[in-house]
Parts: sequence; structure tokens; C-alpha cells
Amino acid sequence: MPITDEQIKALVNMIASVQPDELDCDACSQHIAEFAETQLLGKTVDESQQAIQTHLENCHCCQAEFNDLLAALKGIEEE
Amino acid sequence: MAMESDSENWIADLRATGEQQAEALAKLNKILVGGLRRSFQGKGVDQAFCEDIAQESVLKILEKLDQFEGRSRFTTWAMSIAIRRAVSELRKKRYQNVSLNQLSDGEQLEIDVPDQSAEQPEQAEERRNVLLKLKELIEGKLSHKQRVALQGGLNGMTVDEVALHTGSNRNAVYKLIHDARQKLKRELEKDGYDAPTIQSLFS
Repeated sequence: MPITDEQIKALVNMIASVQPDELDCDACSQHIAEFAETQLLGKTVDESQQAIQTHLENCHCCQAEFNDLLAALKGIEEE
Repeated sequence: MAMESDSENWIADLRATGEQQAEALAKLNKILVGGLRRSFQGKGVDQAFCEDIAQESVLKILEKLDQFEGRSRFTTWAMSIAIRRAVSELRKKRYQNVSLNQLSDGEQLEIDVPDQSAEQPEQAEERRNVLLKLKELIEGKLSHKQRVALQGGLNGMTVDEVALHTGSNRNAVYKLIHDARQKLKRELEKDGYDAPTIQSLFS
């Protein structure tokens, strides 16, 4: 069965938004702890962390894992 | 990068022996269990699961102590390892029942190119040309694995789901899809279809 119009639109967006230097999941994972601290402290995402943010926007799995990490870290001070 | 003193203390305590190390291990285990509970409560996870994951994670953290570079606090880094382990375990359970129908052999990544339309003939013709080109590229330039991964993504599967069903891993599937997107983008650009143009045609 051919892909639907919605899937074509999604495919076009996937193609149009791709960047050559995107982080992959492993690289994102290596930096996710420091990125979580940036978020929790309400700091501005600097240039070096922009690639992490972009990867999280593109990868639902890493984004979900990041959200789990944030939830785990909230309240860690009281441990 | 300079390490915070609290992190330095953690590393020193965990590298120590005897009571000093035992206390640090127990404290770390407690922090991880607490974090896992906060993160996964209400998601069908019980205390035993959190304790098992925390225990396994502590061992992993001890193995990886040399890899801690101090870019975050030690406890944040440790928690990220525990979360990854928990997510990995939960993923295995959760995705066991995902239908393989969503992930055929990639041959179904088929684009139906419509006949020429009388409405807005210029734009319809351009869209048709892009679809023809995309169809040709997908069939001729993408590998079988890339087509399968891309199809899974378009069918709403996550990279983890695709990875589980193709015996791969998250990173490899992400890279397959990324490389496919890049290849398609480059080839479309060669024909004069840059990103803004194709997006406006299909918006």
C-alpha cells in the first residue's frame, strides 16, 4: 500500500530538516547529564548544547529518556 | 574540566575500600532507587524493579568511574546511567507486543504518484515531479535497511521499536534514518529542490 499524504508530508519534513552534523543517540547520551542540569537550573542553552537540544527534538526515544532523567533528578537534593 | 568537590568526594569514596566504600555504595544505591521511583511511579514499575536496576547500575557506575569527566555533578551522571538501564529494560517488555505489521520488509515504502491535476496545475506538476524523484531515489539510492528504518519511522514506530524488531540498537537505527534523510536531501538538491521549496510544495 502506498504511503499516505500525511506520511509524505512527514517524510518531506524529515528530509528538509536534516543537518549534516546532527548528534546521534550515543553522543547525546554522553552529554545528557550536563544538559539536564542546565534545564533544571533554568540556564540558557549555550551553543555547545544546541546540538543536544536538536537531537532531543528529533529523537522521541532520547527525549523520553531525558524526561525520565529530569523526573528522577527532581528531589535528589533531599535524598 | 574541574570537578566539583562533592563529585570528587564521591569518586574518592567509591574508589576507597572497606567501610568508606560501603557507605558510599549504600548512599548511591538509595539515591538511585529514589530517583527511579520518582521517574517511573505510575508507569507499572514496582519497588523491586527500582532496587534491581539501582543495584545493577551501581556496579556499572563502578566500572565506568574513569569515564566520569565532571561535566555534571556525579549524582546526575550516575542517575543518567540508571535511567538508561531502566528504560532499556522497560523497552524490552513494552515492545514485545508491537505489531510487526508496522515494519514490513521496506518494500512497502511505496510512493503513489498522482495523475496530473487540473487544479493549480503548476504546483501540482512540481509536486508530482518531486514525488517521482523521491520514488526513484527511495527505490534506487536507499539501502534495504534504510528503507525499513524509514518506513518504521513513518508508521509511527520509535527508533527503539525498529531496533528491537530488526536486532539492532537505537543509535544504529537513528544513523540509518539520518543517513537516508541526508542522501535524499542531497539528491533532491541536485535537481534544484531545496528544503524550503519542497516544504512549501507539501505544506
